[in-house]
Amino acid sequence: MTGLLHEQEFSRKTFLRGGGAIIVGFSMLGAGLAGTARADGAAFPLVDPSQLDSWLSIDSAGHVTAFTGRVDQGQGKETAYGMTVAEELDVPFSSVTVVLGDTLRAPNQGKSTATNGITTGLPPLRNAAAQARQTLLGLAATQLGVDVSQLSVSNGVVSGGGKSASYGQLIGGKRFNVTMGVTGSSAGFADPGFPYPAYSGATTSLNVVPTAPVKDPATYKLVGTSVPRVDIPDKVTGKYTYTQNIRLPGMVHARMVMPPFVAAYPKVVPQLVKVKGFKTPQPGVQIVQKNNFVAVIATEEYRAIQAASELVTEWAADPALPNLGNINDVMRHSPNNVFTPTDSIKVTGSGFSPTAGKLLTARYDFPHTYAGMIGPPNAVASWDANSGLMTIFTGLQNPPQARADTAAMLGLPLEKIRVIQSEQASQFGRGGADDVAPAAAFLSMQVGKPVRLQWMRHDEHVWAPHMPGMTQNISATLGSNGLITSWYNEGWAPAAGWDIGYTLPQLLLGNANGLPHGTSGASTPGSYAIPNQQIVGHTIDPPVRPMYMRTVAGIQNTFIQESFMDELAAAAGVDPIQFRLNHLTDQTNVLTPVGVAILQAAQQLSGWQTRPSPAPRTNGPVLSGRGIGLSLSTSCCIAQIAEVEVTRKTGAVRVKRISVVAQLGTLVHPDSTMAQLQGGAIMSLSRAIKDEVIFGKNQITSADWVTYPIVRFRDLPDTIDIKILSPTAADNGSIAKWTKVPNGGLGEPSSIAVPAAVGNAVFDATGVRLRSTPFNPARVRAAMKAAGVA
Amino acid sequence: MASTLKIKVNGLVHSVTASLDTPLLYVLHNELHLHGPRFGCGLAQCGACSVLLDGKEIRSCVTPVAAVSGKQITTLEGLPALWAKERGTTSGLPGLHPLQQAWIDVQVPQCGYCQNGMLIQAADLLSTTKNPTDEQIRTAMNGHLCRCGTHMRVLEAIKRAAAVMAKGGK
Repeated sequence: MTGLLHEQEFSRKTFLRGGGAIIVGFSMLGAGLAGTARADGAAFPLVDPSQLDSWLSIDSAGHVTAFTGRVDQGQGKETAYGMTVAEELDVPFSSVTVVLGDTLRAPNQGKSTATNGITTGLPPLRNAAAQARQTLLGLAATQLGVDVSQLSVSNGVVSGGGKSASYGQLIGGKRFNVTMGVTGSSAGFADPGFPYPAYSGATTSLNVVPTAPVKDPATYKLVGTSVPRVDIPDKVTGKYTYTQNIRLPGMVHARMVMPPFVAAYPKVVPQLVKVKGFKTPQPGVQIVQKNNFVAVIATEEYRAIQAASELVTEWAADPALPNLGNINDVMRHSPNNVFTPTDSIKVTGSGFSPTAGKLLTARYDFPHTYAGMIGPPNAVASWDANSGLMTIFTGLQNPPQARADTAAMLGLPLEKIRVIQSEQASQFGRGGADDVAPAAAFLSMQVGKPVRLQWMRHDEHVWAPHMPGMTQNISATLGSNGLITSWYNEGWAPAAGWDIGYTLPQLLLGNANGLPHGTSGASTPGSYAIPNQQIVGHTIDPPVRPMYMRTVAGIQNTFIQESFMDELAAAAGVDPIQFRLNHLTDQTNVLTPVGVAILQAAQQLSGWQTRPSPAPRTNGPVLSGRGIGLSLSTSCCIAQIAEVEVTRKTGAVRVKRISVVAQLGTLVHPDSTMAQLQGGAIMSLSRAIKDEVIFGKNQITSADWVTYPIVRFRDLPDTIDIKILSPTAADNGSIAKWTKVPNGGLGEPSSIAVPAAVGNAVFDATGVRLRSTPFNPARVRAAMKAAGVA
Repeated sequence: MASTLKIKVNGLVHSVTASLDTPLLYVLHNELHLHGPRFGCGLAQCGACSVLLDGKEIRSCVTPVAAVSGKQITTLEGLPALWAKERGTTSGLPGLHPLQQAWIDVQVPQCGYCQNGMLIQAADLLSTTKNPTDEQIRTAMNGHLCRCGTHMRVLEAIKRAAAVMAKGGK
């Protein structure tokens, strides 16, 4: 358990600090790397979330260490969690260290995705800190002989009745030995047939119940301020240790040799590869091959890279692979996934009727997109055959998944595996499936040495699990009063992700055992008061390995629905914002007044000119326009407005300005909120004008940053203007009031509506409606030509 | 076949063993254990691996180590000393390069993975262009990719650092 390794001996910051220190650090730790083999044989026991000691420890100097199973991707969670603990404990922020994602030291809080870092990741730490403060007050009361009611805490010192004792004096390195109630820990999603369902199913809503209340937000001194992030200085000076920088004595380097085609579905795949050997001799390089898993190992990194490209392999194509060339048409004709054989059909009112008014119909498409890790995934694994223990250093979004998948793949008990987290390039959902940790572990077992596995750029672009695209038919009827009278939306898409049992090494080894979860295809049109809807979703077999990516299907559904709302507004001859306001009338929906407030604030912030789209036609070489996208959810409500210039001759779309209005709950760290809104707008812009996975016959051909371009500095708008609306109880916009969760989250919502806004702005500028992204010059030019506007 | 060669990194001469065609990145990373330059693409497309070679930004992922002999390499770790040298202050521990300080003041990084390249490129730019326009900055930085979307803060931090450096760091 965590108490075995004194926090100071194994502080993440100590052993991860700079340069070659990683090796020195480990030799100082003694048992650290090889695992603390306890007498009872459970070297890496599961962490018991009911124990306060699993969440917090305080040493004799009063230094606090908080343990969380969640991980940071650069959003500032480490700082936000530390601030919360400091606030609840009444200690200086500088005295708190947060350990993230180490499966030996932190409770399993499930995956770090789904905009859940604050909404569900934070509360257990807050509650544990409140409990610890309560426990410490009790200890002080006893030690000082003063009643608890006479005691107060400041800067980690408890005082009252003329006496005082510091936290360090009160608990200093000892265990709290306090058991707390646990909620939300039952299996989140069942994976029948997958080993360790309880571990892998541990829900992200795991929480603990304190016997003392948490602090009233009105009394916060620290939470809600923008404390400088603790990770930034080292990231700026080169001291920061990414997974890439982990070095172990005797470590060797591995590179994968991937198949020349992509496949999706976990099924028993026969061995398709024949390994013929190296084109030119590669002395000292080892080949590892098992079923379809092929890798090379060398003592020098560059040798491994060269050897991988020198290895001659022959692959028999899987005859079941469809021709992926017209991927969205392929999806329309795909059968449903076996786990979702029934289409989802939701009907409200009298359903859709094409004669209920003026009819508009359209087909919309959104491509597969790639998350875009700037540095491809990598992991270091060390197998100790003597003790039967596996230690893995990785940095994706799901340490418990890495552990469970490694255990399943290698036939090891969970308790023999430790996953230690450090940061890598941010993954935006792709990290929900750690493809490198189990593979590195497998390789380390094969060669009997620590192995560093690094995916190359083409490995990652082609074989990373991608966010599936979406293809939809959408129709609506407009009444004579300019209001929508019925609505139809039918879509085809795969469910976006497998969390467990479906990493690439498992697929290649032939023992993938994951299940898809969730449905997809189409969603209801949010908070608009639209009677008579029919929503049909076909959750299809995925053509390639899927994984959720920032907003999951949110950005796609928002693009389609908000573009179609814009089409309807134009058909009704109504200003786009006014048209939306005309449909935000359901007062029983708590999001309605928030939507109204946001739209009005967005009008003001951007200087929106109220008039129908498209703009009056001009004859110049550059056409200007503006457009809006709106997304309302209980996590975060957001409107994004784009102002564009379209060059008639080339079809180039230049987004000059993005205006953002957002409302969420109480902000823990306002500057991080702003950073997410800025970053989300830019990533979303890229998905509007650049991002698209390109498919060949049975392979993905967008294999690098040239064939999968993303937004660069010269593509940026001149400005991104942001306004955050604060919720107040009075305006009924308080998140706490609706959901009982005091904070919202915006890792994803920040990135949801820009494609809609840009597409609508292009329509406003040119009168030409774009019904698929990306809005690259070739597509825009073709669309304008077809409409006679070019 | 490995050779032993000497390279000068951040003011110090190091003896390293590598085959002559090994990209500099792997030598800096594996032999010298530097954390600044890092692997992003290996194709000179993203800029995560950037270092200064005699003060100019290069992509260490495609530059063979043999090509840098006799030249000065400055990595992210070496920016403070580089700035101290430019200012003529050689006594005491060098403070942060104004770019690094601006990066902290503006809270630029999110995951931080691309920021090595951003800082190196910005250092190159500001060493030749004292008061770059927004247009010049965007063009100079265009070869560096960021997926977290820190771009607007990068621009702001470069402008702040340029102002500080124009005043000689005061």
